[in-house]
Amino acid sequence: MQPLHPKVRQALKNAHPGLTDAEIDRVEALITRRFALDPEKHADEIRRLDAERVALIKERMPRYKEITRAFAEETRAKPRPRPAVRVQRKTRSDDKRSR
Amino acid sequence: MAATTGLVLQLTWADGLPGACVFVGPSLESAEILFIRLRSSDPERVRDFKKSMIALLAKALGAGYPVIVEHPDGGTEVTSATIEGFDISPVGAAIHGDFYSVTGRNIPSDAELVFESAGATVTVTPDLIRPHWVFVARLPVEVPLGRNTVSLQAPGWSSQAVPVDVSGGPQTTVRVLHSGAPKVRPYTIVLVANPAIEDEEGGTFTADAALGDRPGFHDAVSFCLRNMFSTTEDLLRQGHIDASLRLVTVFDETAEAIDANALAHEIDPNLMETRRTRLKGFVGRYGETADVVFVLHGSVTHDRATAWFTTDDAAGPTTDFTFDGAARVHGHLPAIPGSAAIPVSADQTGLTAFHEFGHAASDFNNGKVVDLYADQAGSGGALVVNKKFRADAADPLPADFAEYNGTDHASDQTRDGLGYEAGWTSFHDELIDATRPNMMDNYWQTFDDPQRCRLDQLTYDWFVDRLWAKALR
Repeated sequence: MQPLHPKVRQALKNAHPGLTDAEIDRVEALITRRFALDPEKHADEIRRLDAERVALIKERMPRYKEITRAFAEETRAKPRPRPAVRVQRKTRSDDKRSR
Repeated sequence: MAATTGLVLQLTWADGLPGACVFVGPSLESAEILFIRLRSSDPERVRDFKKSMIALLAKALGAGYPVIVEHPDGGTEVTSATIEGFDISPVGAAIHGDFYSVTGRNIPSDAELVFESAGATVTVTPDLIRPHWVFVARLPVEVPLGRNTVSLQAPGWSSQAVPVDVSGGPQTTVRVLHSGAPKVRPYTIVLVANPAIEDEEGGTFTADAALGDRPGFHDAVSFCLRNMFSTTEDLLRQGHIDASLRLVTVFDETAEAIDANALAHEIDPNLMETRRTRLKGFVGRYGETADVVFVLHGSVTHDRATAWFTTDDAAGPTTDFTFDGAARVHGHLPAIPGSAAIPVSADQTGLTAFHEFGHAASDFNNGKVVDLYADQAGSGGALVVNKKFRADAADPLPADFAEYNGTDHASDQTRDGLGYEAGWTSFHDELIDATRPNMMDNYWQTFDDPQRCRLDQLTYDWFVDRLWAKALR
């Protein structure tokens, strides 16, 4: 899973006074553990992890979505510059020379 | 026996022979006029051969490829026809706005694509250059429509020029970017524009905006490829393994927003996961069998990238290895491909695509490569390659991390410069570059450029063996 950017961590703490790194780390650990489990074999455990994560975020980080979306908006991929293209038009004399 | 070399300038059917009349040479005025005569007395195999020569000459005429035609000294009846080879090979059609790639050998890192037509010379800087391959995310519209030749050129180096026909569209649904090793099942990475998304609750499917943003998809594919093949970590360049990999994109505007086409699932609060069991069937409909699938989606609400490990086919062929003395295997084939859900809007300054590939290309049962930035325990009982745990956070870090194939690997005592968090019991293998975070750790915390982060040595060695076991299957 894409790691949490340090700026998002700080923004979460700024938006939720009293929120600790340990609580954010707990959410991160719940998600990474979820994705370490085979969903075909551990569906119940994944549901339990999901429920704990949702409850923790609801209680301690109610502005989580707002904060993470604002950061994603800032860092969203910019359209990649088109590849450098050089065009050299040929004249009739160029064409004759190339022959 | 004489040999005439040149372009096929004209090919006509001559009832009087009966057979074909072919003009070969640099121009009609100076061409050799040769014949392929189909005699009623020819044995069937000879007639078939002559028909094949006519078909080959017709293709060479259409494509503008030079040929070598053999005939008796002083005679005009063709005895063999060969299309001369080129030292580069365009992959697929040249279409404005579509992907475009060319394969070759020992291509310089500063090579450019040069399109030559009657009216202009257009030089295009590729998005990615490898010694065997150059890649352009979108063929510029400045390349003239119709017949061109394309070559690769760098200072002091030039390939041959290959005739290509450039068209204005339509862009392709399935595009092979690199065909990989010439075998039935090359290691294959498929990058898909996700047609539909399943909502958080499950069971509701909506069209993915990714299919409405073709340029965005091309940018995202380019990001994924540059991330994997041109950042500092050379896992996918070592031994030129990337020359063996098959790379394919799927962008199907006609795919409906239905269960079978929904390859991504939202997870609260901002995560997107692949629907891993749908992937094999989906890419199979387009004739592909994937080892890893990148699901590129257009969600801006669930845009945190995730991955699922591969599930290797335990019943298929395997390559043995030992880890901490235990016998393990790399499965050569996937039962369920590895997968990653990546937003097309992903921050392209990071290492997200390669990081997720690191998860996706590992295996649920015989070696997971997990995130290192969290201290989570519990992996469902399977082997984790890149992380271990102490009994207690106060316990000293062991000097050795693990044994792999008879070699002991040291632990990372300092977690690069980040340090292990107080209370963590987890620890990692020694890094290749101890000055930057592991690429499976929080690469955003590097002091300079996330794209310079590398793996730890054990995971690198393990992955090299695993990927080659699959590439050489």
